[in-house]
Amino acid sequence: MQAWTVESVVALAPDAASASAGQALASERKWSGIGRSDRAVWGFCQGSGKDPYQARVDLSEPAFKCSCPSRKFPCKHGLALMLLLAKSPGVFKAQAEPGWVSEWIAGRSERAEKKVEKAKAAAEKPVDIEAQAKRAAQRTQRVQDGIAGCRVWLEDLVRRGLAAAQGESAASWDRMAARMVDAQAPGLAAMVRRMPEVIASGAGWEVRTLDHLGRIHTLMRAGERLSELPGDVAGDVRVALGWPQSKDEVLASEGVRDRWVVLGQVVEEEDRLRTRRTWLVGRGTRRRALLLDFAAGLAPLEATVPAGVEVEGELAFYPSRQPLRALVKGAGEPLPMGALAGATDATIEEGLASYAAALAANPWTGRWPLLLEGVRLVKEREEWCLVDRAGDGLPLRGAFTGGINLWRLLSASRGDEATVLVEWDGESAMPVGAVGGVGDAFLDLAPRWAA
Amino acid sequence: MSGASPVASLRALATAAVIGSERSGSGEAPAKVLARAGVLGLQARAGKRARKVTGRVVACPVDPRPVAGSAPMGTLLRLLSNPDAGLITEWAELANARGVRVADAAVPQVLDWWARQPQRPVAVFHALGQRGEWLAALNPAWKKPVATQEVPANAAEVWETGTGPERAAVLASVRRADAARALEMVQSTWKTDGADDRVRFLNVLEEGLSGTDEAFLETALDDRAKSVRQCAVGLLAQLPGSKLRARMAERLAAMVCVERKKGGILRRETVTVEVEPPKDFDPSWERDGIDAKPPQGKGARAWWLQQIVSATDPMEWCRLAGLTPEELREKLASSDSFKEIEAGWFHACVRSPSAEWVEMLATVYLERIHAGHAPAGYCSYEPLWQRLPRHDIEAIAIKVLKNDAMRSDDRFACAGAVPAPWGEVFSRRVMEALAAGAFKFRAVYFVRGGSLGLIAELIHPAVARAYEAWLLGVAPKAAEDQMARGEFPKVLDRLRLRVDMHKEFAS
Repeated sequence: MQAWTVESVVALAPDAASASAGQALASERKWSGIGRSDRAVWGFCQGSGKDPYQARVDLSEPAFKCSCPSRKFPCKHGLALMLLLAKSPGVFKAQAEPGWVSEWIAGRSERAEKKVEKAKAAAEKPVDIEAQAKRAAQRTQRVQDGIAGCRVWLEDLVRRGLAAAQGESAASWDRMAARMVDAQAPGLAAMVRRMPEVIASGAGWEVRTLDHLGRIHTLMRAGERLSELPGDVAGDVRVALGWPQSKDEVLASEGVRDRWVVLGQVVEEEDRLRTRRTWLVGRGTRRRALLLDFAAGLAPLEATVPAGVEVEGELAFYPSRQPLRALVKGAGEPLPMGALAGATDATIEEGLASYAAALAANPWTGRWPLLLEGVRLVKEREEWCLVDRAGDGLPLRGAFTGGINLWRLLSASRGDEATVLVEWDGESAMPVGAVGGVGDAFLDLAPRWAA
Repeated sequence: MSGASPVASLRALATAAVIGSERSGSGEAPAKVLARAGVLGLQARAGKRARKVTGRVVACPVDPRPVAGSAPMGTLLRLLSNPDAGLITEWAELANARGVRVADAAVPQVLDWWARQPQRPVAVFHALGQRGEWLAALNPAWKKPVATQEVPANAAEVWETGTGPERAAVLASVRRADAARALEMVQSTWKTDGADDRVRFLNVLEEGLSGTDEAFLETALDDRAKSVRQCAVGLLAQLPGSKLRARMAERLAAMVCVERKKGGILRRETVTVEVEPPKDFDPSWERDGIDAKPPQGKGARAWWLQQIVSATDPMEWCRLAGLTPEELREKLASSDSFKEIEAGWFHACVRSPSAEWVEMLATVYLERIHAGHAPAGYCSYEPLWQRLPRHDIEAIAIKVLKNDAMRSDDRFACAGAVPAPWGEVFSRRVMEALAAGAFKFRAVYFVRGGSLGLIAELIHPAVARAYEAWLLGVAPKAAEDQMARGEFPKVLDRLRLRVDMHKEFAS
């Protein structure tokens, strides 16, 4: 069974408020009837209601169930139970599962079995290659038809001038985005939806607007010519367009074994969709990897490796000319993070060169991880930047310099050198994790700390 | 394409695109503009270079104090997630007493919280160690306004050239180290300082006030500015044995008439005390800060009386009449001027407190609250409490606790007003009063700020277990009540959190 740490449990929380509420409840005193079996933990927690809440956790996934009325998932009681397990496992005495636990788990495994059977049946069904090709062709056609109309509209906008774009309402961009969704290009839709924000971004807006329009236009053109592009190039275009990719196919591909260091984990929420980015660096291969997870509404994000540890394991990369996104094929126990020498970008120049190479291979590359060694925070001309030993400095994102994390990094590093993982987008750097200061401890700089 | 950089080319392209290809007459097809923008944008991102930076942040000096253990640090972070000023300050005091400090990465969060507190507790800042000082200097929002303990090396220079507040800060540090030297400094520039600064500096002299300062303060009574005169009066009225006090005592004696008579069958001595407000305004009073002109709605004679009482040591009354504060109050209650006399007593007590007087006045407050005549709440004690040694405050509160004539919630409100940290003995007395059943259970005591909640925050950790047991004893009653049901667990939580915190630091 996996050994749970406080960090790995906190990573399951749907938001910061739940995490802190869970922390507050993670005390033996708050609970009664605590117990565990080899596959579950459970307990009663007195809340504001008359009867105590029954919280239970199936440790295999983990899966949560609680009798409380919270719409958060997992709720604070489930989190608290897991936090207590992480902090003081001795509190949980092994015993027979009470009915309300065993019945729930039985129901769950029954459903899981049915799912497996269904999947097996589907897998056994002979693959209709012809039908598959037909579906792909249909999809390509639909994308092309959808894009054509929008592209003309964009070009017309440029004919009328960017000043005219300022006059377009957010609703008209949303309409355009909806058409992209209909055309099964959600990636394009997301880019279009960002337009009003870019247009309203203040001084220099026209450069950013044209840049963004140029990106959208280029992707549209690529989408229209999908069938003419070489296989791997077309593959990256499909990803950028937002075509779904089969996890099973990726997992079936050959993995990369290494000792992976988890250097940062960012959870962002937009339009009720939570996105989690987990950044890993391989000690032996020096490869960078990104684990992307999504959860809609109140659904939980799947458990994953927490930031600040390293694991021996195998990652399967999504096919790309510049593979970055990956899935975990298999991972061992989380181990304490050791020194990072050897796996870093020795200078900022080296890091920027790796980004340029990534863009050359896949121009749709979004955020790129730079693991910068020996960098210091420096304030010059009223602006904070990260400076390496050669005196090269990178500008930092406003979301970082305006928050508490800037000061946490400064405090932990004593104003001296640290190794920092940043998300780089070609314009500014967003630190998400660092190693430095006393005992080279890991410092989580994910934005949720800003709260 | 031209030799210009992609960034410059993209900017030029965007500038032209603002008005559109139609009107600019460039004739470039929009599709071509967008395609070029796509390529230039990509080139700009790929070609973005770092810029040379020469500055650096001066590293924080190493702090020899060890960092607090992981258990107390975890507690502190939990306290910060739902900030509670009392508990955070208590945490810091414990850390300071143990000679440990806040872990580096947590310093900014604590500092940020601290900077937003109206009182900015010194203990919390101290627990941040060197890192806190260093960060506070780097972030304007966290700038430390409290004067440091040491006299700065450039004190003389600041005193000569600084602004008023800067000079006052330097003066305060000198005053702490060498009171006489601070007095010399004030005198050295007194003639050229503005009235605002003169008031500022006099206020600094309040700390470490002694007979040495009297001669100078007497001259300040002749100051041009009224604000300066009043400030000097305030200081001289605080100074035991000052000439001003003697003058005031004389004025008081002139108004108070004490008569002793032996009479009745038992020939017991009876004392009558009468107060006759002054008939005329003596011009010499003005120098001692007494206003001739009453505020609107007040009679001139009553106003003079109140001012004289305010500036006189209340013990003077006891000396004049040979009576205790309670007896005086009883005898004067029917006087026409009682309102003014009592207001004067409160004022005088803040200037020169004595335990007997504070106790009497505190009881008056409680009675008023009881009768609904005073603003509810115990905050009215605060100016009186501040002037008394802890021992006296606790002694008064214990007396009040034992006073069966008073309502139990008033009694416990008085106990709850005793400032932190509670001593062990006092905590035991409060527990004894609780255990003796002096307390009638009422849900409202649990509501935040209610006395049971306050006791949980203040009771000495050695007595906390006993209090927890008492609380658990009333738990069934709390469970029956709508209001207490929600608050009871919170009170219990805070108490246990404190107990745990003390344990975490002890281990």
